[in-house]
Amino acid sequence: MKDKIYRVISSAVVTLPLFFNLYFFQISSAIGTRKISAVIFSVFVTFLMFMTLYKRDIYKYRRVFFIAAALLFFPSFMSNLISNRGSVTLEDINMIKNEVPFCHMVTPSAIIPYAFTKTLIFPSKLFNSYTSVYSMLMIWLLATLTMGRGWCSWVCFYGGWDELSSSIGKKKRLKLSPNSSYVRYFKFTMLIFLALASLKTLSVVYCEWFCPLKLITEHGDTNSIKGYLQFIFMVVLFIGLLIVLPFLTKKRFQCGTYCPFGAFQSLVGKVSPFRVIIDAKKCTECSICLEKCPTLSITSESLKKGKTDKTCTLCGKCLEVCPKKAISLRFSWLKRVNSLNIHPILNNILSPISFLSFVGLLIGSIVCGGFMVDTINKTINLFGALL
Amino acid sequence: MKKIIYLLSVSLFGFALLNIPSAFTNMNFIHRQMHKVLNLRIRDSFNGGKKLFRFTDPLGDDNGNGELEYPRSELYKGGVGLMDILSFTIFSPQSETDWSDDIIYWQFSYRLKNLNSGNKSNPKKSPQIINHYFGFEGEEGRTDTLYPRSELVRFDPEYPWQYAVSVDVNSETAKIFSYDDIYSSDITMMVDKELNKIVIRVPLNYKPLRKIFTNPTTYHYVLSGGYDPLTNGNFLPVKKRSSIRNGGGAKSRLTPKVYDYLTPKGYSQKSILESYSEETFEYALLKPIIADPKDLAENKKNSIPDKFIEEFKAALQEENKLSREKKEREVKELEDKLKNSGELKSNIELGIKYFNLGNTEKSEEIILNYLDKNPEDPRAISYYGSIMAMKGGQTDSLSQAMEYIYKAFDLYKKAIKLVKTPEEELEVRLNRANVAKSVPESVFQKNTLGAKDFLKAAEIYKEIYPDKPEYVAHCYIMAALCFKNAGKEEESIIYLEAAESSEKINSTDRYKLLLNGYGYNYEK
Repeated sequence: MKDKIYRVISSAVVTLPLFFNLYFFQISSAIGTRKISAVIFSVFVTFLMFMTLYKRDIYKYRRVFFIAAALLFFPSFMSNLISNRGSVTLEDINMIKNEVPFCHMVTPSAIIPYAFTKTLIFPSKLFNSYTSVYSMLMIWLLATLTMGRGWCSWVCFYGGWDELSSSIGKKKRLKLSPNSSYVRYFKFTMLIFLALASLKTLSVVYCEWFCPLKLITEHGDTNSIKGYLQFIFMVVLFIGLLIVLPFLTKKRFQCGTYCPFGAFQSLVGKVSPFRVIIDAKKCTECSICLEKCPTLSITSESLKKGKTDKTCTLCGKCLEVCPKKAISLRFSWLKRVNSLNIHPILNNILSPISFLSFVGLLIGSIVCGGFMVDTINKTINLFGALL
Repeated sequence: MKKIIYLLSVSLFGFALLNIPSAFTNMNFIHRQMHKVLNLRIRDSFNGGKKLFRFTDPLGDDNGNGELEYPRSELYKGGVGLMDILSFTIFSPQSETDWSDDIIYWQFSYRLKNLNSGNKSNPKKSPQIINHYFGFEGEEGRTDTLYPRSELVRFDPEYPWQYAVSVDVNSETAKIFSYDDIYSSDITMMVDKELNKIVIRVPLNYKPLRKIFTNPTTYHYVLSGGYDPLTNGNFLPVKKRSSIRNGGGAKSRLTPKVYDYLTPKGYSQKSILESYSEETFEYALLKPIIADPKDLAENKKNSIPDKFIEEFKAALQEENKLSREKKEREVKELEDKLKNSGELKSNIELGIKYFNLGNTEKSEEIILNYLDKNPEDPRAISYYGSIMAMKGGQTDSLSQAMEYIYKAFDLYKKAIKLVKTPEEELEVRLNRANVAKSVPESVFQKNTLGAKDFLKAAEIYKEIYPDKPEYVAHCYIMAALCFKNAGKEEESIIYLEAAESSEKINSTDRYKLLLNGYGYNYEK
C-alpha cells in the first residue's frame, strides 16, 4: 500500500510538468471546438504518462501514444495540404515557392550535398513555419541530444504504422533472425547508397523513389512514365514495408531493417544519455528479449556484451518481457548505478524511466500534438455536422 | 559521495529537460542563430534558378495609352488590375533540374495585380493574354508582331526579337515560337493564384536558345491584353467604346490592343503606346527592357550615409512629439465637452482617443461600458481587440500573451463581419493590420494578413480621400513591411515602388523609402 502511494506521488510529480507544457502548447492557444480537442489530447497524453510511471511500463503506454500519433497525423497533414494547395500532389509551383514541408527523413540525404555545395537539396521554407527546415532541425537536435534513437519509438510520426501492423495477431509467419547481419545492417547500406546517390544527383533520391510514406503524405504527379513508376514504387513500399512484412514478421520491419533515417539516428544517437543494460548475473540467456525486440536490436553478441545494439530505439519491449528483470534502463554516465538508498519517491522521480517518458512524450506531443489535435477536432466537427 | 554525484547529475539533466519547451518559445532566436552557423540556402534548381533580373512596372497603369477601358463583360467586371503587369523576373538558366519535367530550361515569371476574374461561374478563370518577345543582342530577328494585326505594335529595329512566348492565362497554356518559324513548342506554365504570378519554363532543347548559358545581354518586350479566341493572335480588340466583346478608349484604329506594357526606365507608357502614325500607317514603336549581366555588379547597394539615419530619427521624433501633444489636447477637449452629458465613461470616441494616447486602462473601461450598450459596434469591437493585443504585449506570461493575441484576432474577425460603411472598415482593418505587423511572425504568422489589410485600407483611402495620396502611400509602405516580415520580398518591393511613385508622401515615410533603398532596417 505504502509503495502504491509513493508511486502515485512520484508519478504525479513527473506528470505535472508535462501537463503544464501540454496546457501551454495545446490548450491555451486553442479556440472554439479546438479547445475541446486540445483538452482531450492533453488528458490522453497525461494519462499515458501517469500510467507509464505508475506501472513502470514504458512499452505498453508508449505504444498507444505512438500508434495514435501515426494514425492521427496523416488525416490532418493531408487535409491541410488539400486546403492549402488543392491537392496532395507535389507540383513544380510548390517547389518554386519552397512549399514542401520539411521531413526529418531528408536529413541524412541532405548532409553530404550540403557539405559539398553549401545548399540544401530540398525545396522547403527555411523559417517562419512549423514545417520549416530550421524548425525540424531544432526538434531533431533536441530529440537526438536527449533520446538519440529514441526518436524512432517516441517522436517519429511514421513509425506507429509498422508498430501497429506488427501488433496485429500473435503468430509469426516469417522468421527474421536478429543475428543475421544482412538483415540488421541493410538500413546502413541504404543510408550509404542514398547519401551518395543524393550527392550525385543533387536531389533527395529517397523522397523521389524509396520513401514508403508518400502514400500517406504527399507525392509527385503521375503525368509522366517516371511519375507512374514512382507511384507504383510508393504503393508497393507502403503496403510491403508498413503493413505486410511487419504483420508477417511481428517486427517493426521498416524501422528495423530499411529506414535510412533510423540508421543515421543509430550513428548519431550515441550522444543520448539513455542506455539499455543487460545484467549478465541475472540473465539466463532464455533469448525472449532477442525474439521479441521489434527492431532487432538485441543479438546473441549484444547479450554477451550486456547491452543492446546501437540500433535500439528505447521502445521498452525488452524491459517488459524479461522474466528475470535482468534488463534495465540506465543513464549512460551512471551505468553501474541501479538504485540508491534514497527515499522511494525521490528514487522514482529521478529514475531513467521517468526522464525518458517525460522527454519522449514531451517532444512527441510537441511534434505530433498539433496534427493529433487537428484530427480530433475535425472528427468532432464531422460528427457535429452529421448529428 | 556516490549518492551526491548521482543526485546532482540527474537533477541537472532533469533541469535541462524541463527547459526543452523554452527552445520552442524562443524558436525565432534559435533559428536565426542556427542560420548564422549553417547559412542554408535552397538549391536554385528547385526554384527555377537564381533571380537575375527583376523589372517592375507601376501599379494601376493597365489602361494602355492612358485611356483604355476594360470590356464590359462579366469576365472583366469584378477584376481590378487583371491586365496590370507589376513585375517581370528573369532567372538563371538551369541544367540540373531536380524533380522537374524539363531537363534544361530558362525560367521567367510575370506578376499581375489580379488573376481572379469576375466570372461568377468560374472565378478562377482569368481572361488575359501575355505576349513576351525576347532576343539576344547582335542577332537578327523580326520587328513585327508574331501574328499580323495582333497587338498593333512594332518593335525597335535595333532590338529585333528572335523568340516570342505567348501565355494564355485563360487555358493555362504557353507556347514559344522562333522568329524564322523553324521552331515552336509548348512550354511548362504554372499559375500561382495566391501571388498572382505566372511562371513559365522555356525548354532549352533547341540549340540556338542555349546561347543564354554564355551569359549574353538579352532584351525583352512584355505586353498584356485581353484574351479573345476569335481574333488573329488572340488579342482582344479595342474600340472607341467598350462593349461585351471589346475594350474601349481607343482614339484611333491604330491604338495598340495592349493594356499594359513593361516600359523601360526613362520612357512613358502613354507616349510609347501613342507613337503610332495614322499618316504613314505605322504602328506604335516599342522599346525593350534590357537585361545586361554587367548591370548585376553595379546593382550592389552602396553604404548608407549616416546623415540620412540622423535626419530620419529627428523627423520621427518630431512627428511623435507633435502627434502626442495633439492627442492630449483632443482628449482634454472631448472630456470637457462630455462633462455634463453623462457619457464620460461610455463615449466611444473618448475611448478611442485614450487608446491612441496609449492609456489602455482608461480606454478599456470606456470601451467596455460602450460595448455593454452597443455589443455589435464593429469599431468598438476592433478597438477592444487592439486593447487585448496591447495587453498581450505588456504581460510577462507567454501563454497569457498568446491568449490575448488570439482573442484580439477573434475580435477583429467579428468586427470585419459587422462593418457597414467604408470608414468603419478602414478603421477596423488598420487596427488589425497594425497588430498583425507587430506580433512575432514566427509564432502567429499574421504579417501576410496585415499586408492584405493595409492594401484594402489603401483602396478605401483612394475611394473616400482621393485628395490624400500620402495616406495610400503610407498603407503601401506598411504593406511592404508586412510582406518583408513574412519573407515575401517580391511583394514588398512592388508596394515600396508603388509608394515611391505616389505624388505626395509624408516626411517620415519618405525617409523610410530612402533608407529602404539602402537596405537599412529602420524598424530596429
